Amino acid sequence: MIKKNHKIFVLISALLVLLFILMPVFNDIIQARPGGGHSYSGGGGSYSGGGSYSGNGGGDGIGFLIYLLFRELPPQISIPLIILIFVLAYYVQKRNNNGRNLILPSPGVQARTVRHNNIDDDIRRLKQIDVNFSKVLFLDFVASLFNKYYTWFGTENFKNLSPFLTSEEINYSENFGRNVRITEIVIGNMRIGEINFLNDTIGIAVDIEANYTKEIRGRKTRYILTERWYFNRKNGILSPEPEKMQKLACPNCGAPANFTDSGVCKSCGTEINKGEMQWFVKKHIILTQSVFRTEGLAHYEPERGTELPVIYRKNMMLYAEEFARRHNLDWNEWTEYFSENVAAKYLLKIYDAWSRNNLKTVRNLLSDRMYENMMFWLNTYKQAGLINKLENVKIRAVRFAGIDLDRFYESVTVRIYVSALDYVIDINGNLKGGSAGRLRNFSEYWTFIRRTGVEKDDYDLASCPNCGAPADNIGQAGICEYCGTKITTGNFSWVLAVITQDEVYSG
Amino acid sequence: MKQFNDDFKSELYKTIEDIENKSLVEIVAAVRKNSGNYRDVSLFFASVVSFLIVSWLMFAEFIIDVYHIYFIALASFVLLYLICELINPLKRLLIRKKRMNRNVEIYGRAIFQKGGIRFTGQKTGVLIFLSVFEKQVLILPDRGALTAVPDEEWQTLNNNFQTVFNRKDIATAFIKELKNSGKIFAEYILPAENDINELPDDLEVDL
Repeated sequence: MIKKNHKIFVLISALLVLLFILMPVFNDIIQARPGGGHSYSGGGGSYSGGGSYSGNGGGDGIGFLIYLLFRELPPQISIPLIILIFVLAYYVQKRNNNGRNLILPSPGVQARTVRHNNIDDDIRRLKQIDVNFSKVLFLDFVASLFNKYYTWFGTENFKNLSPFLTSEEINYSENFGRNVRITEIVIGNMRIGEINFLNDTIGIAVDIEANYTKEIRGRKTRYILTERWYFNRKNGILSPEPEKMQKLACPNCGAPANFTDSGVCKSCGTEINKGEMQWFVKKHIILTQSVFRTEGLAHYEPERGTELPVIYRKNMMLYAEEFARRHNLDWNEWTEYFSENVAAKYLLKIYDAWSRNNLKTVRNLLSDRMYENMMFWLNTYKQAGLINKLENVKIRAVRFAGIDLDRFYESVTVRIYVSALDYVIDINGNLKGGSAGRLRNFSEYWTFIRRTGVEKDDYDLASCPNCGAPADNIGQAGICEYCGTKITTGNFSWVLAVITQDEVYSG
Repeated sequence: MKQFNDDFKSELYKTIEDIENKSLVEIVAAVRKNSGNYRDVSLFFASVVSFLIVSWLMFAEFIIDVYHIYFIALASFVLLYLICELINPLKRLLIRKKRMNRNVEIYGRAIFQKGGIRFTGQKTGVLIFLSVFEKQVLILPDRGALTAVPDEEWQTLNNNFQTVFNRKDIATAFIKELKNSGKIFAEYILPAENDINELPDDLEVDL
């Protein structure tokens, strides 16, 4: 092939040389073009004003070329030639730009919907085996374990995780974690990616988006990462009650995790064998990891995903009917009420608090993880000397995408279409990104959770749902300082648990 | 490159998902318009040909304005450069095959590295990289996959993937060959019970 290419190249060159040698033979013919062009040069003299160009001794190359073109060639040739050069240059540029991106497989809406439905079917199957299984509680357990894994990594406390981790993990922490401390762990998002039903085991893979600060010999680096944790548990057992799932505890007695190396609970003396009473991590993989930097905070990409169709939960209306039966309500009326008094109202209030850089006023509306995540981003903006403003917020539509019911929790996912002025300013009020004058249309999937049995939908946004005191004194832990009750677990009404961007939502 | 649209990406995703359901192999398929811009070749081509044109004009027997020669040299250089950039077969003809092979290999190895394909537990990651301009498909298996599949089968895969360039719709042909490759992977890299996909669903490679 190489030889062939070279032969053709040599052939072309030879042809051109031959043409050059034979040129006198075709003299008469050739004279017609340059000679013709030459005769026009006199006409070109009419551009002689341009002659002062050389006197100026300046101007860019392209301008000079264009000038030369007009001066030296008749307009019938120069104008199409300029157009041709520009068109060709445009296409070359366009082609080069298009070629920069690497094309990789990507789950489109259809594939994401199929995956979403498959996971839904698997969760339903899991609930038939384990009636106590709750996605909300399971993810709470995953979050607690993830948090403790990194908080305790390399410390003596790590052995308290022995019932939940493989012995390799424990050894790894002992061997490689001595000089490492991990702090400020923030979990952004969690998604069940796969459920495997085997003869004696059930496996669930969870993708966790998080960020944390790693300190090695006093030097700190903040990382943003995605990990996949694969949990296993013996088939046929029931999930522990909510109190044993929401925090890392002995699955037998519920005491806070305090185990020996061999997994014996120091409170009740029960040996907790891996996967016999509670989920344990069979494997965990870091999918992506990079150093977290704040440079791009004020950068706005064009909105993607707003035009994508809503991803609805499969058989959503069956769940809706069940929900309506449970609460003795009319589904259509309720969705209208929920859209207006929960989804829209919460969104306006939360966006307002976000813009004011003060989430304290909406602490009662956010789950703990959601609050930590939002606080992380607010603090990041703050440290970078920036404020993200969301103004003129208008709810354009609310669409119900999913509803989930289990023994302990109910969850509702809506896609909220919003238009708002979304921009970033610095502390002096200078615009750094986005537009303060042009509305941006976008949509997000918001998932709300509530404990099963609770009837109230909307919070009185101004007061504690337990004691009625003003909601002005709710600590970061979501506890009302007046009555000491934790009010952010969905025990009183809906709380916002997850926000997912439309372009990545997969249920 | 229009054929490599969102539908193609989605189809590619589904195809890989199907293959991985039947095998422990972890496939990453990537497509790029080219593995190098080869602008130097277009510039060289434009220089040589415009030089020949200038030489021809300089020694011509007819009278030609010196401005014309200067201008024609510039204009022909620009036009020839642009033409060479736009006509892929011409550009490809001027590039040595060895250079294209090397570029595809360098690019493929960069994707393999930056895409984290080497992080699978059993080392069963396989990169299938299609570089359109060079008309090459590079298959880069990690050591687990490499030793699990006989060399003869890798040769077959290489040959089969190379045929996609004989078809008009490269994208469809590529998907078809990928589906066919699934049979080989399913035969030699058996699926493991109680295991998970170890690469991200939405891989991003920042090169």
